[in-house]
Amino acid sequence: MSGTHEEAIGAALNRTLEMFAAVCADPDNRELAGTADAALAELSRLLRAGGAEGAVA
Amino acid sequence: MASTVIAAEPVLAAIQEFTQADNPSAFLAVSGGNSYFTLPSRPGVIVYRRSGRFLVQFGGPFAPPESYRDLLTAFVAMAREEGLEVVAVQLQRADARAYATAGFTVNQIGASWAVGLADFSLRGTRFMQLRNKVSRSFRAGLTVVETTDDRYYPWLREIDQVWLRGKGEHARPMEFLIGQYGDAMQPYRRMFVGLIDERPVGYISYSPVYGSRAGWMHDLSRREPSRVPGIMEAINVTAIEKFRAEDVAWLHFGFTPFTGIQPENELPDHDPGFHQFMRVLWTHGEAVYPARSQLAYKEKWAPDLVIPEYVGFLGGASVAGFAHIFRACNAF
Repeated sequence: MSGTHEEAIGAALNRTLEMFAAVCADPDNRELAGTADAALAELSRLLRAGGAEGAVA
Repeated sequence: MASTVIAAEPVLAAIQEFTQADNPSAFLAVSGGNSYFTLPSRPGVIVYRRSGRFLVQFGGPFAPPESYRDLLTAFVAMAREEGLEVVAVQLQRADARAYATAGFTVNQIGASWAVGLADFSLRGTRFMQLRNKVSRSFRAGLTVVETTDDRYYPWLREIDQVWLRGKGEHARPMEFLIGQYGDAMQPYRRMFVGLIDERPVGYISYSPVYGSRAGWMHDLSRREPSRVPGIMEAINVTAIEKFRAEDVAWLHFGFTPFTGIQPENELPDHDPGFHQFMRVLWTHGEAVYPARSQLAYKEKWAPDLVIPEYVGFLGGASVAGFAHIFRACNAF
């Protein structure tokens, strides 16, 4: 996995965490929920593309 | 027509009889505040709570194999008709496989922990610190009683309030995936209370566990802040001695989220992003849930068994669905 790809995964993971906090603060906001789920989907996409799972966190 | 209003007693019968998933927390199904989904003339029940646009299900259907899938299918259909989402938490491994084939994205969300009591002993170096703490608490005047006397409850509620205030001004009492006491289901639980000068200073409530690893679950427990160390440990040691004398096979310590997350526990089509999300919450998620300190207490007892538990999202893994599990628990 390249450094750039690893950085992208780190950024996507941080984004997911930020969005989780945002959803907890406004749990019935459907637009926010969609954005949060998109962040998670992007993280998963990057992980699948990189082929690695066990060592990130 | 499906029913969503039934009393707790049929639910109790279901968790006692339909144990193939071996959910150690199954007794939470009969807690006050839960909603239930059943099908006419079909055995079994689905336990859930509504949180916003989510139906948060506890465990899989407590049902025999011949109605398990029908219950799940009908529950999902009901949710879809009402424009609602479904997220299921504390699925056991057997449930996880069933939910994955039913179109759910299933990931490990944590684990539950258990100690086999047949050969359990506090001898040895490993338990030296624990023995010392327990001894100190008894030397400080602690006594432990098992009680069915509900006159203790006002004191225990006071301990709950003090405990909650100690968690901060915004702390809320958790529900749903947390045990209860003093309700109509109390006759099925066991309450051990620690006393100093005949005044309660802490308690542990044990809930029954049915199935192939039947026993008791160390459920709701609280103590007041005290300079006396080892109160909870002394209460649990007393309970263990009693359980062992009764030939109880297992003491379960219940589910802690974010613990025991391992790649080998995941199902083939799990969501890799959610897996990493859970691992980060284990490492850095104390503000979300104090998983490390909870696990530290459980590990004092050298658990023999780590049981992976799962979350199932209808469709793709969902941050919002995960958040609503906490909301259903009254975390915010």
